[in-house]
Amino acid sequence: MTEKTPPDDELNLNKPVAPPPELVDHLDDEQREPEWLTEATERPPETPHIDHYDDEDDPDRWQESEDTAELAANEDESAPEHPWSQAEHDAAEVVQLKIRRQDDPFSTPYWQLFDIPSHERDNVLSLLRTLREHPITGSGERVDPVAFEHQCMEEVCGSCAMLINGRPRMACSALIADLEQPIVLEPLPKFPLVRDLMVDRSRLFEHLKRVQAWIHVDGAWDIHQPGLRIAQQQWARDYLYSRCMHCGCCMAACPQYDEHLDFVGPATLAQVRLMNAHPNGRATRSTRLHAIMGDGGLSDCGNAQNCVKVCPKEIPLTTAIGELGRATTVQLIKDFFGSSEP
Amino acid sequence: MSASLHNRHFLYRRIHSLLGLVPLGIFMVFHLWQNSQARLGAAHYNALVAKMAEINYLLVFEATLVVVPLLLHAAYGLVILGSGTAEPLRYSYRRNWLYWLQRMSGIAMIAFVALHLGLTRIAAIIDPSIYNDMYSHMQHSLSQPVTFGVYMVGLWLSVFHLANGLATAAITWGLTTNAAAQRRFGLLCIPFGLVLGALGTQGLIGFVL
Repeated sequence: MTEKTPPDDELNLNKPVAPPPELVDHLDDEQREPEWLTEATERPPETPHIDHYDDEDDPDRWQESEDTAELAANEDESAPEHPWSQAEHDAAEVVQLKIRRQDDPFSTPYWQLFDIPSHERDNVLSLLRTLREHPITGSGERVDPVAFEHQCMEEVCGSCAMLINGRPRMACSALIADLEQPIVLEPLPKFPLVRDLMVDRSRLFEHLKRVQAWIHVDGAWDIHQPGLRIAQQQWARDYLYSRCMHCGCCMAACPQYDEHLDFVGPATLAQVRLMNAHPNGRATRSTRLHAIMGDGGLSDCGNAQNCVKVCPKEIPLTTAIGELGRATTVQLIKDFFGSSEP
Repeated sequence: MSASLHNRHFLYRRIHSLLGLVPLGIFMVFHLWQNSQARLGAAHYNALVAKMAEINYLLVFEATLVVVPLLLHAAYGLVILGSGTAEPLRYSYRRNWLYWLQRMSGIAMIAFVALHLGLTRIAAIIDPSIYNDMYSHMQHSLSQPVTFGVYMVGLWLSVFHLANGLATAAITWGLTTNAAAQRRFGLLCIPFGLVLGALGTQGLIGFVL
């Protein structure tokens, strides 16, 4: 028997392990199944991506309508109704955006309507970028560009969270085709407003500092020791929480979270769950538990569980809260009756 | 060191949760079970009331197991109510509706329990002869359709408050940790509430039929 037998699934450390299904909250049907459940079985067929900026080289594009050039020539004499060329305007579906605007933190908000040509597979963020080029309202008035935040355009940086048709979500992953029109855009609630769709989310960092959501390094020099091992099964569970991009959607939807309240919110609590599970973080777990056993900590959660429903990364926030509930109960017993552990 | 003992916030919340479950929850189950015996007639019911009145240190038990926990639970419940903005229409998820209903039923219960005490214990202070025939007294007040309706609504809201409180306390204390367990336990609380509500309804109907 020279042939190698393949290692048992349980022991194969290189094989990624999907998190157990009971960790994933899918209480109602409208929530998407997590990717690892659908990926292998029922992924919708990929529609070919049509990049509408590519066809600039296409000779037909310019032959198609000679009046485009005419329009461009006439631009100086008569200001066009639409800033976009007529051809492009005809080619695209016009989408109406209704945006709640506010010039500074202290002024009164107001609404503005915009008609924007949209292409297949456009998302809210790409429309906002189009709008930024020509900030002209539906009634033809040129206004200040709409202020909004964005970075990665692929739902990993967490900066473009806003209320889209009343729900907190990422503008970059909100496809126009899936949205009811007019698309109503509002700034993320419960955070101090900066301008238009821009809010100040710096308190997220303050929350993380409050609960010590970090791991102490095991040495500032080479200790000639490998890092502590983490079982694949545990790693798979922990990974879910490491996907948090601190967008603030869970906090916007949380009835217990508000600008003037102490509560740190679900995202920060989930980081305590993550850091306490880490082999190095475990040494300081009681410090973090005590931090969330204080004002604005875990006990401010009202179990409304909106957080897990709106989380764009499908982080099992309510599982984290349940696990922290148990950890703090044990910690309370240790505190009351004494314990040999720190 | 032991921040949880020095910071009162956490302890207050846990005590609020514990009071609602242990003394008050158990009392409510007992109270509804006992009153479901109204169907057995005036003689049986009045004998039961007389027997209860003979319990040694009854007033101490009533004060420590019911009145003080009730006042603390209600008072701190109102404090919790002050922080939080439920938006059940914007986020119409099941748990969010339950979150809103838990708060609404809490307010309704304060009014209902006050009315209930007024019609029984406080009425008995004014007219001590009520204790001689509690059955007839209850029969008399419940024969008015408005009182009967208020009792029925109050009963079911109270039962909801306990059953849902049981489900959320399981999350708060960490009995149920993951989403699936929370869902399973929540579903178990439904038959608990239905049986308890049926028991209470049987008691109310027992007085008027």
